[in-house]
Amino acid sequence: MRSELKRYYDVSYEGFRLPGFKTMSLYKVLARLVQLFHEGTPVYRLKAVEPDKMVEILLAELQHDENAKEKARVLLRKWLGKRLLLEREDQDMGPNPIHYKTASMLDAATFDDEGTSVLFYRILSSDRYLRRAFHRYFSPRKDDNAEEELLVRLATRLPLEVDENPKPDASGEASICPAFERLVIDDFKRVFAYADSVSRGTFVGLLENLVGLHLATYEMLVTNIVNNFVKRSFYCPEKCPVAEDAGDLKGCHCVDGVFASADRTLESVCQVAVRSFVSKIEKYRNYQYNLAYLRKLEQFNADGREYLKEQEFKLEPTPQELLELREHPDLRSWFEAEAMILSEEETNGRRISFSMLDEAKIDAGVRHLSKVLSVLAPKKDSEYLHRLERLLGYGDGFGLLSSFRGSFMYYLSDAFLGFTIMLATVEKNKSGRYDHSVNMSLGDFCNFLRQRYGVNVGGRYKGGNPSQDILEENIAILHRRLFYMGYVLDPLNRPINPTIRPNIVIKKD
Amino acid sequence: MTNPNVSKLQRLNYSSPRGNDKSINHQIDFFVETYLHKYLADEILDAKYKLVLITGCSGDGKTEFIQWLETEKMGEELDLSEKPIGRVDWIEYGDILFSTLYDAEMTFEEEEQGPEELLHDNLDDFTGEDWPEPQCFRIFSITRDHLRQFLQDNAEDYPKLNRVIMPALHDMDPDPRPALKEGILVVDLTFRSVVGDILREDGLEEGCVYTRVVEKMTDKMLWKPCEKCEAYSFCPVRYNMETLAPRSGKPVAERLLKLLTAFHYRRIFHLTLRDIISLLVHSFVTDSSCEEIIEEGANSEKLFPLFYFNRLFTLPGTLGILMDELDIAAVNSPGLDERLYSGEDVDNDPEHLPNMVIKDMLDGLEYIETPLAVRQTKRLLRVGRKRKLFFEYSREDEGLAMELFPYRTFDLFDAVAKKRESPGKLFEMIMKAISKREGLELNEKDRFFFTLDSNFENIATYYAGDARDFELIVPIPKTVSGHREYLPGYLLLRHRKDHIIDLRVNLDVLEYLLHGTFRLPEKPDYIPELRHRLRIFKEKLETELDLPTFYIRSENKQVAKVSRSGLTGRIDFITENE
Repeated sequence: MRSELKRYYDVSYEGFRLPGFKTMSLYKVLARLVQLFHEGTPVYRLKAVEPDKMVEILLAELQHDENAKEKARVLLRKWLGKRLLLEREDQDMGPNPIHYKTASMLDAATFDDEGTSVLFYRILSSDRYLRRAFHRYFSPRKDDNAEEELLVRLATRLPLEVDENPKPDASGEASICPAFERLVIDDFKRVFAYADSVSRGTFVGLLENLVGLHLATYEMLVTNIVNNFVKRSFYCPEKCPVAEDAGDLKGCHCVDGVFASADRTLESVCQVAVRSFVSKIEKYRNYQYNLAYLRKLEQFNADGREYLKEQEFKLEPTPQELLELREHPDLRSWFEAEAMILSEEETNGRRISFSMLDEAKIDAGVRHLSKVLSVLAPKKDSEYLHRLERLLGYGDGFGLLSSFRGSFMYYLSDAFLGFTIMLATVEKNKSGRYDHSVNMSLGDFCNFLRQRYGVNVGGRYKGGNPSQDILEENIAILHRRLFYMGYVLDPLNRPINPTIRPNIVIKKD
Repeated sequence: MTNPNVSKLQRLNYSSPRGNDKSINHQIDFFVETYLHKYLADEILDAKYKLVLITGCSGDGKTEFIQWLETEKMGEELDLSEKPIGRVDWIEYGDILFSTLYDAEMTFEEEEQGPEELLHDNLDDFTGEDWPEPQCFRIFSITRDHLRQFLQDNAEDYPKLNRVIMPALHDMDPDPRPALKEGILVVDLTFRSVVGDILREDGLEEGCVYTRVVEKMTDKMLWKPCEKCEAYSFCPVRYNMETLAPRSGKPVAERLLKLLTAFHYRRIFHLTLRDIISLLVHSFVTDSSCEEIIEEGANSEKLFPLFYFNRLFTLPGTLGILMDELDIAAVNSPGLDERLYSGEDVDNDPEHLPNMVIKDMLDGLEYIETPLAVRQTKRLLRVGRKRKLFFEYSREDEGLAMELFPYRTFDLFDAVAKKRESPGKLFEMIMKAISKREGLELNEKDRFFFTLDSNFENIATYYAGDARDFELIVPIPKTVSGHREYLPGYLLLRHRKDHIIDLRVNLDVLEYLLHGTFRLPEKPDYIPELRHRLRIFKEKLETELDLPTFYIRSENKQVAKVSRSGLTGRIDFITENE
């Protein structure tokens, strides 16, 4: 079995949890990436220093009135907490990876993101330009603003030690979807086009958003890839329909169409979103079920090898061979026996994986959700909403989708729109590098969202389902929002297909 | 007794349930002259331009202007009821041959000539780099998007045409000069404003297209037949039109103009001539026929919704939705609510038609059976009375009426946009307001402060910009010459040297900056989006400005200034608001 697929169903015993997303700080993932891409040898990292000690070092750097020393100490401690250590609500999210030195405060040995940083590291290191860009951008520069400069200066004053953590193998297998990898590379290249046009803080924010967005996209893909595989024995990474040179997911049938209402009031559009949400929950449930099923088949294979010694039971079965065991005459009785063992207090791992196959024992949260959703009624219960969002890893203002002002609907957040407009409005030069901004039409922007991330705002498109026309109104409302956000300058009734202007304009050389 | 003008006028409303005519000027009785008719017509007839391209939104009067030129100026007989789309015509005027083409983009591909062929056919004088002497002088009405798309798609066939016209089609700052050098005039009617006094290079001109439309619609002769009508005493249409007429001495037309000017300053929607006429007809002439009104008789419940103040915010379509966002009935005004409660507004003038209707409905409340229906009627009366107060409070009570105006910053904006005042004072207010909205006001002269953190956070860092490096300008596109009435829809705050750093300040942005909230609590306020717009501006500031100093603000309002000096830095405490 491909190692990556195996890894995903291994971790799923704890319930579906994509590596990294919502379970840890994206800043930490970024900091680790910056460490991994730094090319210096030997590799140093900053020794763990108490924040108060850092303040001491900082105070020695800054001239100040002696009688204000205590006040300065208190204030600088808070400032450091927020800017360098990224302390939010007493939770440590940092360090802030604005520079490889600040990033190297992260101790790789104690850091576990379930492979997220390695996933991105492997994908990105296959591209020479990105490898260089990462290294170069996070090395010293001169044009920082005063605040960033001070942070970097502090980092250079902290004591060093040799980092003995081994670097992961960059050439290992990254994800289970080749088209996704190309999309990630393309998007990182787009973001790096802004490297010299925005400050470090903003740039790091962009990278953070990008990692978050791709984790969400990947989640949709993995769910569908596994479901397709178990249901139809179709393993799409090997039969990927996306064009080899494509930088998007156009044509991929694993992109889950996420309908998004750009509106706050439109009930009909909201209903579309609700239906789409229901189908997502259903897919998620199937996904959990299918993972557990695969796992059980693997156990059956192991048991079969030991006791039956038939040739169907392989030492290292491929996914397809595992699936073929479904036809085995002994499978049913084996399941029955397993159920008996389970009732006699088996190990926890086996119990959880087995219970996934039993409707009655399905996770209470999921059961509750499917029950509520079957009514299709918009709920205003905040806890319920919160649960849905947590389940899919969305929320917090940034994400593919988020709830808005307590009412139940999908809503593209301002930050998401702003960020994706930045991605969409850079263009390649003749040598194939993204290096200048262009204006684009609203229609093209909607296509961009749909083809790359499966977010369907609306509008008719070639090959699209005519029933999606009910989202037509969505576009008008998105237009109005973009107008207020300053991306569209024309009045609403002037253009048929309005022009979106990027907020940060990178001029053509 | 019925008034035939009522149904004629109603056909001018695009949302009329009884069907509508395309253009006001098809009804020669209601013809409204604009600068286009006044200044451009003669230039065209003098063969000053070999090609005139009139672009704009649907309803701006592109086609109407050409038809008017043909019938009224060139003496061509034209059946205005025929379908004008895609119509090509050749007219001899004196010894000059003119060719006209309307709305090529609206023809269908399946027709004999689709949109593309029509343009190719009519632009054959303009292919390649060397143009022959024109066979005729051409006048086209065409939408901007279509023209732009055509020129882009066919740049190889029309390289020179593409080069000279594209600058004139720029969204924000069109440049008509390259085209003019070649004898081509591009008139973009989206740069025409139908409301507000008209800004001209030589100053302000009183009156505007809206005022002329109102004068025309309220013409005494049009409403003469009503005087003998049996419904005269209770007809809401008669009341609406009399109140709107400037000769009545009532401030309704002025206040509506002010509201529409505020609408224009939001710059979210371009008001076309057809929009204004439809809004006026929908609100004042209503959709009810004379027969219906006579038949219903003096039934208060039927009459009340037909008063203009209730109909102004109910037009179907985007314009109606956006008008509803400015509904004065949603403005909070405790003082006025008290007046409504006491019934002062109705008792003061009991013979006034709306007052009689309101009084009758108030008296009828006790006969309504269900509490829900009572509540609904009360609400209806409350919002209607509030709107009526806004429009009809006498000029002496202007201040009270303005308590209901949705924008507190309107007068400031208006004075600068119309160049009655220089932008200096407003500029200072805006720069101070930026610091205020950001949550850090320090007594540092000519400095403003901004943060990329949320100002709700316990600790935030700020940067300082030098206000002297910025300016507030009233943007006037190069294209605005004598042919269009123009009033800017936004002000531009920008860096004096680095024009990339700019913020378009429309009325909503100004209101948010100076007040932080909107007066319309029940309506969408777009504050999150406006904040995002400001954030984009701040990101530009952070990227483009040299920022050697930053400020740290703690939750107890302690502020420290951290500055860079050579290899070391310095931290100083500043007490806020000293």
